[in-house]
Amino acid sequence: MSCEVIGEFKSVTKRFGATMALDSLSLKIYRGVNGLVGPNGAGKTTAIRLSLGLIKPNVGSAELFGSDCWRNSLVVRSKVGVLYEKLAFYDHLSGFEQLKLMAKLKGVSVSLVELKELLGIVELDTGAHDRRIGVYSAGMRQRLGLAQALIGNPELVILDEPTSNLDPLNRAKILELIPLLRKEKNVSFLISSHILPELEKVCDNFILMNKGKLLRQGTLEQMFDKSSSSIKFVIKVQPVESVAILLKNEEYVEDLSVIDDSLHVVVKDVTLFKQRLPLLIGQAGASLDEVKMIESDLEAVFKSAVEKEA
Amino acid sequence: MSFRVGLALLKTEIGKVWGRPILEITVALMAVMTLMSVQPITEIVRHSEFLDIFRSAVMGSVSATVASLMLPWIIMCSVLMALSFARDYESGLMQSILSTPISRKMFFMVKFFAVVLPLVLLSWVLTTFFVGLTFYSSPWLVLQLSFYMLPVSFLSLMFCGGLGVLVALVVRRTIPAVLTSLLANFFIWYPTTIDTKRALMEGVGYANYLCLTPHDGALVFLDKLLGIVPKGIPLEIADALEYTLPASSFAVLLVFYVCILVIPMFVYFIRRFEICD
Amino acid sequence: MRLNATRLGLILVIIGVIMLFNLWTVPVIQSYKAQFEPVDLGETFAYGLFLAPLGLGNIGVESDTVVAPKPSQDDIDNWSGEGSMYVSGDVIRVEYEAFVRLVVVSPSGVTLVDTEGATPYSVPVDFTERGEYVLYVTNLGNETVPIPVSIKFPPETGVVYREADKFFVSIILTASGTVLLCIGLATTLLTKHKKTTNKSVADVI
Repeated sequence: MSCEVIGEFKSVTKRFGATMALDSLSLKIYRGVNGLVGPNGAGKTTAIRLSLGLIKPNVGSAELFGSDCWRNSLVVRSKVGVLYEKLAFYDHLSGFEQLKLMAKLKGVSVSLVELKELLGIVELDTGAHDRRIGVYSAGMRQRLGLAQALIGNPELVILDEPTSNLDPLNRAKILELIPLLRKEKNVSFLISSHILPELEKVCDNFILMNKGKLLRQGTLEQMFDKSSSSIKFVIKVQPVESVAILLKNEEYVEDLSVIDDSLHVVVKDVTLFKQRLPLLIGQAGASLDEVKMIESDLEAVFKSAVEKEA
Repeated sequence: MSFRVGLALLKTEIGKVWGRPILEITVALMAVMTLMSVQPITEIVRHSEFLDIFRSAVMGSVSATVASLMLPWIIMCSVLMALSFARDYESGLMQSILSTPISRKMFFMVKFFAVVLPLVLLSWVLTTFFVGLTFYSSPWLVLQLSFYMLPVSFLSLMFCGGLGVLVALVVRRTIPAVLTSLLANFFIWYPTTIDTKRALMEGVGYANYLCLTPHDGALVFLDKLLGIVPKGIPLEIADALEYTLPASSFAVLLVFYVCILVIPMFVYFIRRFEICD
Repeated sequence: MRLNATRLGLILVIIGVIMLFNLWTVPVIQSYKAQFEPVDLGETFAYGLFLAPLGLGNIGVESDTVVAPKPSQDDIDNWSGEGSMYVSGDVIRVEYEAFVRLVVVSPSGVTLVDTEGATPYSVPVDFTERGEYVLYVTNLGNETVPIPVSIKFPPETGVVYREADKFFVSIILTASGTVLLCIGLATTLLTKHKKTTNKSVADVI
């Protein structure tokens, strides 16, 4: 991941009436693929709108490519493409016409060949190019939106929940496209999503948000370093209930659940757990089939960050 | 460059706003209202006075036609303007377009004039057509007099549109914005239906100020531009504002109304309006 | 805004139909009468009459007139000195006979009627043009009299007796609009059919 900072929020606060949408938010956007992670209502879309000059911060400032997002939003918007969760087009236009219009608005000239190529990249069916957008399916609209965001070779593409309207197959395709575009067109991305496993696969840098605040920022490895040392184990043992009852009382056990006849245990002290597990199994008179350690994932990191904040 | 961008966006906006069946409904509404207002002279006059009376008849027809057209254009302007701003805000289209490097100034003007300009043009064309159908023996006279309605309809529609934008930007929801805009504009239009002369004769106090309302003022302004001199005004009401103020006063009044509504909305939109929901 | 043949046709049909409906329902003038100052012996007075091509009507030269009563002393005393004066008393209806020459000239300058006769009399005139019809009345009698003229149309009139030119225009608009609409719809259907056919051929290949 590149260390070049292309955007920065400095203690940005945004209030909508009594609601604090962003609370002294300070974050950096790096060249590469950035993931903006948070549950619904975390302030992700507010942060995106702020970076495009659609809303003005009450306190603090936001910059992209060295330009203030509110005062010089025209400059910012000329370098950024965006795909919003709420897709909206001129429904009476065809796909081609919509892209031609957006190219004009972005001040770039694109030939028919380039448009076809772009629509090919996002895999929008050739037959749909000349049809009115009003008859497009949700998936087709999503693809058109992505093509629209990529018009004019922007330096940064912001994707707000880019896979929300797609089936699992197409979601995978979109996620494959992102690193490809990053490599071929040198485009940076800021992807906002609450589907963490998807982001884990494509993002270099993560920004974790909750209730308008920044929880954590960094690479995945940096996330794991900062997170708690809790480790998750999956234990296949029979009978599972008797072992579960004994493990519940152990101090180093953070979380315990029985899923499909397996015990899912999160422990604070791995060494102590390893020492105590055989004793507990013997005490329960159980038979051990398998013990597997699960690597930390972003979801766990996020949960832990939220809990710490709370 | 930005002019061409604006034109491209204007073309798209006009296509969206005036898509089927909006244009057809507008034409039907206006045609129905316009037809009723053009009547040929039915009196036998002195031949020596015929030209003056003919000219008066044409002026009267233009004035009556514009007065009839006012209600349809107010309805369409208030509905379409509220739809244009509120629906685009609600659907997210405003957010998408404003995320491109287009200035808010350009965006506002395009959306505003995409509604106002076609209505002005349509009103003028229909007025000229229907008045011309009756008085085609003097086509240049009809054309000359019908041109006077252009500034009047433009200012009236600017006011109407400004009110629609105000409602849309405050309410930000499509159906409530459309209904509120329609009601507000209808309420302001209503004084034009009051027979001012009769009200003045009956001593109704506020009747003197009806001509200062936006749409009634526009009609009085048109009459003065056309050179229509009210006949048979009793002495006791001869000093009413409607009869004493010159055309220029009404022009200033209409421009004032447009300025106090449209300019603040314009400035608010380009400097303060935020897209958030 | 795509103003294709279909939409243009629809708009023309709408305007044409509304005009036709208006022509059908708006009442045409039945009769009208006017008089001005008295005409001296041998003098000619010219009336102007703006009419639409309403078809066959009658122009009459009348022999009765109404005279306003003279104001009484009370009327003069009650008058404020400004504006109109209220005159009590009934109007006086006067009937007389006069020998009058009537000439009617159409808007294009064609003399339609040139007759003489003793009042009252009427002549049929076919109003086929729109514009000012000039009525010249010459007093061929032996006293100065006002010469009122009137115009009357038959009470039972169909659409054809209404403004013929507007009727013609509305028919043209409706017919041309219908043709354009049909052409537009046919073109759209054909284009759609061609696209579907081409697609199936491509699919086969």
